[in-house]
Amino acid sequence: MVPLSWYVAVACVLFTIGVIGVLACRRTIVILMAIELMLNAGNLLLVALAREFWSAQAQAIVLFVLAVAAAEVAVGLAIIVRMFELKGTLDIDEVNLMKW
Amino acid sequence: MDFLWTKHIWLIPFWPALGALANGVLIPRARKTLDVVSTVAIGSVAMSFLCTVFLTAELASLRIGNPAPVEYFRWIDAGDLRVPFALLFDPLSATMCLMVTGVGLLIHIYSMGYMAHDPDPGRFFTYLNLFMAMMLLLLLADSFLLMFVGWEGVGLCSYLLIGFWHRKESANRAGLKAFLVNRVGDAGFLMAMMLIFVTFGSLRFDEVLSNAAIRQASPTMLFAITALLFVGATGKSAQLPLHVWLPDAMEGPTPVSALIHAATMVTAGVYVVVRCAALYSAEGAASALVAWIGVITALLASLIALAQTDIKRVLAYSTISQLGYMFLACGVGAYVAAILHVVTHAFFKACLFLGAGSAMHGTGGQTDIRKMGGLAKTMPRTTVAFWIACLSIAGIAPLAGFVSKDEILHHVFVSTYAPARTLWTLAIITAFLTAVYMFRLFALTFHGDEQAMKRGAHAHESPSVMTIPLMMLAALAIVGGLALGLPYPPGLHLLNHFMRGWLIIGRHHGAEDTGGLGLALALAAIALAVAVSGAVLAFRFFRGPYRRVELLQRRLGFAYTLLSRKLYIDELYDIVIVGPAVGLSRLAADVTDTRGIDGIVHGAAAIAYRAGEGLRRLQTSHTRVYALAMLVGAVALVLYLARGMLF
Amino acid sequence: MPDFGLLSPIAAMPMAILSVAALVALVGGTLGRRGPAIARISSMVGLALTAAGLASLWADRGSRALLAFTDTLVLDNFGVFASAAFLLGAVFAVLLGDAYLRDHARLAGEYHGLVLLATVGMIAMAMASDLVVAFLGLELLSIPLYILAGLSARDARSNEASLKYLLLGAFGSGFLLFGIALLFGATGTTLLSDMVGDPRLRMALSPANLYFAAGAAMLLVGIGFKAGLVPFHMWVPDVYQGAPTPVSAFMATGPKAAAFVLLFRVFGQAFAGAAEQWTGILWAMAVATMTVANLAALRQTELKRLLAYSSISHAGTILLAVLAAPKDRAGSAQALLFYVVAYALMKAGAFGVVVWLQRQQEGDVSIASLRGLASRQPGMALAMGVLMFSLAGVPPMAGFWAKAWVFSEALQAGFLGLTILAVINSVVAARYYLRVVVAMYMEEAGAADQPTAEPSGCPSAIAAIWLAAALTVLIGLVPGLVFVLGGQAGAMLR
Repeated sequence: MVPLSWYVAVACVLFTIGVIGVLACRRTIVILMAIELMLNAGNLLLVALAREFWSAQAQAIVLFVLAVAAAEVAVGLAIIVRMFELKGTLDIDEVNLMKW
Repeated sequence: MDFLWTKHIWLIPFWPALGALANGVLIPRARKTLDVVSTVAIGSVAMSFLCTVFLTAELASLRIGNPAPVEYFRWIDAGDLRVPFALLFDPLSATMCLMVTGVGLLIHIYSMGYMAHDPDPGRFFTYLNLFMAMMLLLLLADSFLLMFVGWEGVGLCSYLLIGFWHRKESANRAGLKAFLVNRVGDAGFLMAMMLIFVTFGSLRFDEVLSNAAIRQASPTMLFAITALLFVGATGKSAQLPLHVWLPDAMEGPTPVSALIHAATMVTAGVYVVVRCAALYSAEGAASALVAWIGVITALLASLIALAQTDIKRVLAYSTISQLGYMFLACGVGAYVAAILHVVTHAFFKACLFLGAGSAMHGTGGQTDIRKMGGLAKTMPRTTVAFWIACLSIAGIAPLAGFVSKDEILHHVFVSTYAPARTLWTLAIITAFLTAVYMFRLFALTFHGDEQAMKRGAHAHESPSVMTIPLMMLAALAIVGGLALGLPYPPGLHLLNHFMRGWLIIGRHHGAEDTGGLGLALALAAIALAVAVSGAVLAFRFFRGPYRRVELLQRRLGFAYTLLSRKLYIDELYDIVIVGPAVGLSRLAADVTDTRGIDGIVHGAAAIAYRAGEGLRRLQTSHTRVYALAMLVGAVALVLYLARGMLF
Repeated sequence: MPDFGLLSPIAAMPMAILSVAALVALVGGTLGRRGPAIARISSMVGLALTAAGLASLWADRGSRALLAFTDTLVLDNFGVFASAAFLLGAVFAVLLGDAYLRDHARLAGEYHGLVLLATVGMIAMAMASDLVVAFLGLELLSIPLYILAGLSARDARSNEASLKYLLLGAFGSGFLLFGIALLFGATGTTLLSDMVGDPRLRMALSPANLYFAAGAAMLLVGIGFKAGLVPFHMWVPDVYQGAPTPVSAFMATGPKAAAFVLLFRVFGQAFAGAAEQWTGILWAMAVATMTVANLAALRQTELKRLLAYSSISHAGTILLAVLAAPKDRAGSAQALLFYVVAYALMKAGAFGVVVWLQRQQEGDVSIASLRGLASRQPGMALAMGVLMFSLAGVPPMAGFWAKAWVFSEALQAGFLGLTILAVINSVVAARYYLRVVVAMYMEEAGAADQPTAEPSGCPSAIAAIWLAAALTVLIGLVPGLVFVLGGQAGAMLR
């Protein structure tokens, strides 16, 4: 059986990749995907820990999170589509009307 | 004996509050003529004054030291903090309330004439009545909390009234300055209040100011509380280094300067210190601080006053200086003397301001004393009143100012506080300077050389609605001192008698041994001699041709009149006093006002602005920068919380 | 603690009522011409019924908290009081929304439905006794807000606000979820009630347990984002400025309060035993939040951004109540609740004035455009003046008591330095609130500042502003009204 620490390590790496993705990518859709990666890293950790603690509850949480993530992506995509309509670009750095 | 009034302390602040409500909200705009609003305002203050008189009469007949506060309703009732809405009418608040309502009434009447041509008398009288209500609330409050409400309230009204002529840029700026400087003081008051609650577990006077409670408090805490309270007092009462707002506050209408910035609100700081006499008596270091700040302020302000040319500014600095005397008295434990000076000061300073207002009224708004003069002929009633008030503040016996100032000087002299003689010397120098600058002002404004007399010929006397209050205040400035504080024999000192329940705690530095009648007479003689010489000297000199004044530093000519009996110090006088005094006053004005304290305030503000600008620029609108900031924060949080494991 | 058992749904009743009302509003809003009216009535009825439901859940003095749904929801007066505060925010959002929906009638269903759904999320956060419920509540709050921020779909600014809010909010949620997973790893539970005094948690506090530390930190990132604490605050000015103003008003009231209530439940209550671990970092965050926000606000010229910075600075002050919680949980809970109510009133009113001003002029509302308001519209200037003074903490307004009470809690908990810094900060803050008052009362309107149109009637927005100002003064004069209830709410956390 794969030991817990491996899962934890993978989850942490996934999370870090997600964070880097948010910071490094300029295309909004990629950022949204990177955020998904962060959420899924959390899911992975929860599932692995659920097995460790024999907790059905933690597994159920994952289902909730999946639903939440789906909702977030749906709203996010709608907003991005609107942004493309208004600005004709998907570059997050172009979104800078309000400052200071 | 049935006490009719005792339970109805609330009526005192109620009437002005009602007046403000009526003038501000209830009366429709179209009806807000001068007659209507001023009648409402004056009537409400008169009612308040009557209630105060009745309550005081009853209090005097009670013959017990400290009456109990009257609780009206549960105001704040939350956990440990229980503060009822309670008012306290004891000898101290009675004295202050009589002064505030009495002088306030006269100034309200005067305002009716002064504001006759103003387009917006409704707003003016609303603010003025609101101020009266708040001031009375401050004085009657039975807890620090309620007092703070009044404290902030009078502050608010003060800013509103300073900036009353809001079309004037300088008036707005002055209002703003007053607000900002006072915030510093208010922060001190607030922190003191919190420490009081932490230390005593209560904010009510009877629980905090009892000797038993104070004995249990730690000396460090007591020092912190008293020092912070004093910070609050320096803000409101314009003491160094927070005095800078008061001279600018003269931008407001003159009755406001008289009521708020001379007679009543600025004495709130003194009132707080006197109210907390029990705390200050238990804490020697803070009392010393109060005394020193007081005397240094008194001296520096009187020096600055010598070099001012704006009539109201001279009076403003003189107010600061006189407030310094009051704090000096508090610092040496002479609390009754401080209150006596508060009262007499209200009489003569209100008279001076109203006189100045009358002079300005008569000359079409002139405030530069170099361009005034010769009003004695055209404005005889104003001149006489102003002259009496000048004599009083300068300390000419037996006028009110002399009596109260002499009492303070006497207490300072016999105080057991070690450097008492130094304090006394500084105070007596101030007394001399007071006489000089007041008579400089009087001479330049009402007399002056021939040219000045010609200028004065165009002036006209103010209407009697203005001069009658002026006369009444002048009368009070004559008899107020002896009536309230007859120095000898001891039993006839009315205020002492009235506040005797108070004296139990009012003796710390103040020695029991007052040094006997001989010493008292000697001190009085010195004070009188100093005052008379200063007054005569200044009057003689400044009523002459103005070019002489301009040659002040070079000419020695006037010195002989001062020192005709002591010719041997002619040269010494010029070198040691006049030159340096003028130079010093310039320097003091420069250092403390423009470069020093203002500089620090402006500097701090500039730094804050620059920092703010920098922080604002971080807000680049780039989402990824925001995310980066979040990541940095997250990493910092993880590192901090896991510090035990990682490092 | 006693459990509701089969009666659990009672605890969820307010949320259920509000959710039904939200769905009715969402669906009803699409029904042609009658749609907007249906949505509005449904949301008002829903809010009223929820308020009644909350009132019926208010426990008598001396009662204990009850748990429901296998311990994941907690029913105590703290949660009920906080939920009532959220409802207050929602009521203001509904009232102010009228002014906005006048020009966007099509959006009435979305507006009312989403406001109510977000409120359900807040109530879930306030009643959460389980981190997962808290997470769900937070998401149920956030997702409607993302949409609401971008409601003006043709407006690039509104779109920008919503995009920024969504991306950064989801980024924060990622941290939050990972933090919950780590905490689960540290303690084997997600129940806050189990973490209170859990022996495993105590073990977790031993330096060996990195999970707990990292988990708590990431949790703080997620909640700190919603609360607008430095350095997770940078979205606040942009989003508040870009979002339709009634939405900004809503965001500044309820959601912020909900974040603090959750922060209190987690750090002030569940993690109170580990106070020495997190006190330092919250201390630093409080100071940074107040200082950064106040300094940045000094030079702000745009009114909505100014209010945004002011709301960040207030967040820093409320944090003092959380810091004081381990020493005196009941007292600091009371202080927090009072602050939250006072703050909601002031902010709703102040944003309401912006809503009202935007009926007369397009686009940004600068402070300069307030010049001479006192002579043009004395009533409105008075209300705004009252609200500004209250925000500045000038007595006798509600804002003064809020600050004073939080400060005194912090002092009693021994945070002397922090309190002094906070007092200094409130002195600095007075400067920029005063600027608004000065502009209204002491400056003359220039030709460029004149409004382009006469104030058009939007009675419910005006009513909202007056209600906020009047309540601010009323609570300021008689703070006991709210204090006493807050005290009863706090007492149940003992």
